Amino acid sequence: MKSGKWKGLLLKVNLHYLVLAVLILVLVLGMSIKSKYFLTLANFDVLVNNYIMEAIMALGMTMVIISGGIDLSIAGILPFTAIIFAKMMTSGMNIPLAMIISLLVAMGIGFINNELRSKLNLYPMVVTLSTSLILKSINLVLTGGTVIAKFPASFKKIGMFKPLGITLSCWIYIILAVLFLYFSKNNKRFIQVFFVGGNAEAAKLSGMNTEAVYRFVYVMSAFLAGLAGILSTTVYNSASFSFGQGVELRVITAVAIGGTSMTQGGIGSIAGTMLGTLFLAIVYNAFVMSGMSTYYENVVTGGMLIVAILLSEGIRKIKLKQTQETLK
Amino acid sequence: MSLLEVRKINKSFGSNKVLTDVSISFEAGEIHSIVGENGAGKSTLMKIIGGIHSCDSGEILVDGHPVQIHSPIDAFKHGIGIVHQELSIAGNMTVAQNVFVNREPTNKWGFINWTELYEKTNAEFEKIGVKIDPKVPAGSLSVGMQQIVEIVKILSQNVKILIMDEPTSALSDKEVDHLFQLLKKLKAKGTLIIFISHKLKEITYLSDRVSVLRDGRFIGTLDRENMQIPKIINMMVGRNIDQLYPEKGKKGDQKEVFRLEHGSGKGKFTDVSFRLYAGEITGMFGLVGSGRTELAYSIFGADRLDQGTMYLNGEKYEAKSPIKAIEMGIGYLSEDRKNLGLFLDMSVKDNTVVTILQKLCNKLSFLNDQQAADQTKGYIGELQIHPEDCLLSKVKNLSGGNQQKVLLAKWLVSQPKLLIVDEPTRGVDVGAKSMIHFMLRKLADQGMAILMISSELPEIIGLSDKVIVMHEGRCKGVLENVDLTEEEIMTCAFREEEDVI
Amino acid sequence: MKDQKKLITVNGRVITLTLIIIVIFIAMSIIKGELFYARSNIQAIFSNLSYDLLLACGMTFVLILGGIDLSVGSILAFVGVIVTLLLQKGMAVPLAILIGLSSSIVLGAINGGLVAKFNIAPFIATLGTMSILRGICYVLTSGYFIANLPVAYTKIARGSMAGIPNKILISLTIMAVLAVLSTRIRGFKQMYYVGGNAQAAFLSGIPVVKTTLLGYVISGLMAGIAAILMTSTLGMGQAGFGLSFETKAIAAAVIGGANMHGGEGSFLGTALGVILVALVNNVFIMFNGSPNWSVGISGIILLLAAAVDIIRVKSQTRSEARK
Repeated sequence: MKSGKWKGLLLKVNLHYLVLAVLILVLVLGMSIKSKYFLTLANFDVLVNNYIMEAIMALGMTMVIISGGIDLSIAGILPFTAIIFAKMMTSGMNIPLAMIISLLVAMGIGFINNELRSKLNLYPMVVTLSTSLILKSINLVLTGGTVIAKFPASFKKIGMFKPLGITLSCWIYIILAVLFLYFSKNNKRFIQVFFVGGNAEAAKLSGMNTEAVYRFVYVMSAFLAGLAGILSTTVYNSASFSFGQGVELRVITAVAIGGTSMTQGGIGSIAGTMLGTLFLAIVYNAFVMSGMSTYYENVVTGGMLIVAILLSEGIRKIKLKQTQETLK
Repeated sequence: MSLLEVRKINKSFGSNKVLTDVSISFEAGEIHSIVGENGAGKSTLMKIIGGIHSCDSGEILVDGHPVQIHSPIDAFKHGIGIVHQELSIAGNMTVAQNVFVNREPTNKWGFINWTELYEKTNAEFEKIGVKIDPKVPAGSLSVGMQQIVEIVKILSQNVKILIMDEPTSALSDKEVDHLFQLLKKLKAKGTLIIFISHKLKEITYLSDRVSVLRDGRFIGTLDRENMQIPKIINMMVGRNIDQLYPEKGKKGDQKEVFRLEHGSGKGKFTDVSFRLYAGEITGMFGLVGSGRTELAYSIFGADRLDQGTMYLNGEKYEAKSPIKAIEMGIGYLSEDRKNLGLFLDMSVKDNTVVTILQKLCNKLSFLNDQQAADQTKGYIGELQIHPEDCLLSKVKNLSGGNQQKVLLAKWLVSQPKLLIVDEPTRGVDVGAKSMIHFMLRKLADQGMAILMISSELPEIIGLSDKVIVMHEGRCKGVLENVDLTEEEIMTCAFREEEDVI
Repeated sequence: MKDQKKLITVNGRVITLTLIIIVIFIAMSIIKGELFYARSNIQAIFSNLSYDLLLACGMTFVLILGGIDLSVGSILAFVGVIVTLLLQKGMAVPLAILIGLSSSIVLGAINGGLVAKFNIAPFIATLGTMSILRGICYVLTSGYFIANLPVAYTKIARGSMAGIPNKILISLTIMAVLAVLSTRIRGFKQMYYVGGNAQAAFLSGIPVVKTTLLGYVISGLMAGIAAILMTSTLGMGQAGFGLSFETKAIAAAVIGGANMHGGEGSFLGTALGVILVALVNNVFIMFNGSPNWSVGISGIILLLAAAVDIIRVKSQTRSEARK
């Protein structure tokens, strides 16, 4: 009887969030015991800003993966947008105009991604891998392998702008995250993404324009990558082809840790992704604090990607079993 | 004037004629069941009315006006909705979101008005007198409740014609009861319900009228007074045997090849026992959902038995995997040729020898291609696979009948002692069908034990020595085929639980 | 009739690819003249060919299985680093090579296990191992070169027979052997079945898990061999070796006729695909002067190859529907 009650409770609480929250707590506790600098404001600043671009892009990636696709092209879009924005700005263009144009270009790339995917009937993985590679080459050619700096003084102020001691990127993330949290539950277009990912045929039969839904997620993901590109220029006061290297992997890993299913569409949440990003950021920070080489980052990210998928599929199976048992 | 009428509907898939001049009229406020054997054309007819297929010729009239229905959306415009056999519920979305998928009440910015959504959902459920919390995820409901959600989703679109395709196959008795109460309520409100089911008891209990289809033709409609199960069965199967079957085998020494004792699995079949003998074709009759394919999977090691024991050649046998089963001399010809049987993009030769790759190898596991070709050529000749020079042709370029022969050849090369054939002549033309029948008999005469699963009664009667009758996961009887009639088999399938000895 | 037609379509791709390659050669020789057919440029074209051949060959197996292996570039770097580190520590050359190749087999088996046993989508699983291995390489080397390798090692790939460099000979031989064996050895043949229809393969008694493992193991091993050839040629190991080689390999295999949905692949086609990719890269560089484009070209070629493949399949099914 008691175990039945337990199972009922477990069903109500999202097991995945619970596991993640406990892990985060353990990490924070462990680190604060180990290092007195961990819980300082300065370290918090480092922790947050190291993964803020990934956090922004993970929001869009979550929707792409829920729709049943993937977007590897963000690793090309981020530096590309940063570069064209920097080029336009250094050639004297009005800053807001340059931003708008850069973001529109980024969205255009997302649009092209989706067109290639749907018109040529290609796997999203193949399309976005290709566009990513093409953009990376373009980035090299545009910059000649050098860093674009010497931004106007008025621009540098943007990077300094820190209301309440929180960086601009962080503010933007907070706003975006709140919007995504709310939209993903309440906005018709966002909700359609879940239906399309869950069962595209059934969604079509309910009269949904599935193509518009796919276009929406790829353009959205590209837009956020573009935004991250522009924000990167404010952080580093420069633009380089080397921005965003391996970022797609970190973003996908954050989404996977957050419990969004990589094997079947329609399952996932923005809240989970936010927790996943936080977890990844803390782990990375812990590594840096422990004085370990940053080279470990790749190892840890890849390892966590695989472990996260194995775990979340495992949790899903347990839940399915429980649901079936309680129904019996 | 009828609410819905179909006139002279014809439909073919390729060379396969599925519906011939079918005309039926349906009235408002009735529950009208459609029955027929598998392949009689029920589902196709419903899909034409629902806009999933379009007919080759014929008319659909709603309220006496001819209408054009080319998509499910067109069908909804004319007030026609289908509840499909497979549920299209999104499990992690709420009940309300599922009911109003893509029709959520929103403001002009596309934000959902939750209060209105829940109110509307509650109102829809109230209409049919069911209480379901619209805020819970649909996946947390039982299958029966999910089905009701699906029905409400259809009804909420102002449907006056509700088509239900095998709605009770996944439901418990209690849930079925609930569903029937609901259907009767809808009927009282003037909705036309078209009901498809294999369960004749349900049909006679529920329907106001029953229309029978057989071989794609309309046979007749019975009203309540004339609705007796034997009569329906008679209409479903009463056909002239227009096909020649091979002579039955001689009774041999009854050497037992396989025995299953009290086998149960996956909730799909329960406590099934039977024996198979060398030199015999044992027919297994059962309609879709009777648990026959799941049973075959368990014997073949593609699934596990939950309970029960199997014996092969008198020794205890555990079905661990298809690899093991093939080693032990069992073959399984699957019912789904395209998805589970053949490698469509590979050659006839490759398809044929797949089961004997190991035997074709030398110690260094080099394949003997010559031997593979020779073996395949042998079967191309014996089974008269056309064209004769198809050794290297891709299987997808062959006709359905020839594909089925390749599938059979694939199992014959492995020379099994027990061959399970699942719907061996599905979607196959008459010539190939007869050819396959004679081949099966010949194999039995050579000493093979054959278990032939089929939902085609003439085939079962024409070919089997014994008939195992399955219905809803239970073995309803094993009949000796001595002048067995279709009625006898059907009656056995539908007989009450208490009658089973 | 049908058989003949099939032969023509299979050879059709080989013939088309050969023709395209010849046309590019002639056109470039006319346009750029000496600049193009100079020994140094031809060597430049073929410098990476032996590695690409091996990787593309392994990739063809994986594609036949219906999978994909993004980790080959990282496996190459990893094995290279391991072997050169061991050699630097003074280990005997054969033993170091043996350990390197064994580790590539283990890595391939891990990929295969993640895909076949745990049902992780192939590109996600190999994306994960790709990142892990690349990271380990940097950790092991701290980003430095590992040089000063024994001559016994460097002469493996640097030597030549009858004027043809050893490394080309080695990879061509391996490729040819695998190509010939691919339809003759049971384990290889089974891959076509698994990629063609995994469900039917399972029900026909094909060991699906084992076969999948084998495919990824071969892909890993090919990367391992390529690593040894590369480090031996260059006389050093480095964590950045083989970056985005996987794209080139996928593109070459798909151009050569491997179907991304599995069940089909041609090794001769893949070999021609590798040459074509190398050539197009060279042409691009000749006109533009910037090697920065090389990665992007792989991307463009991959897109084109995949698109052409899909269009081919579509038109095929359409012409069949008409029948």
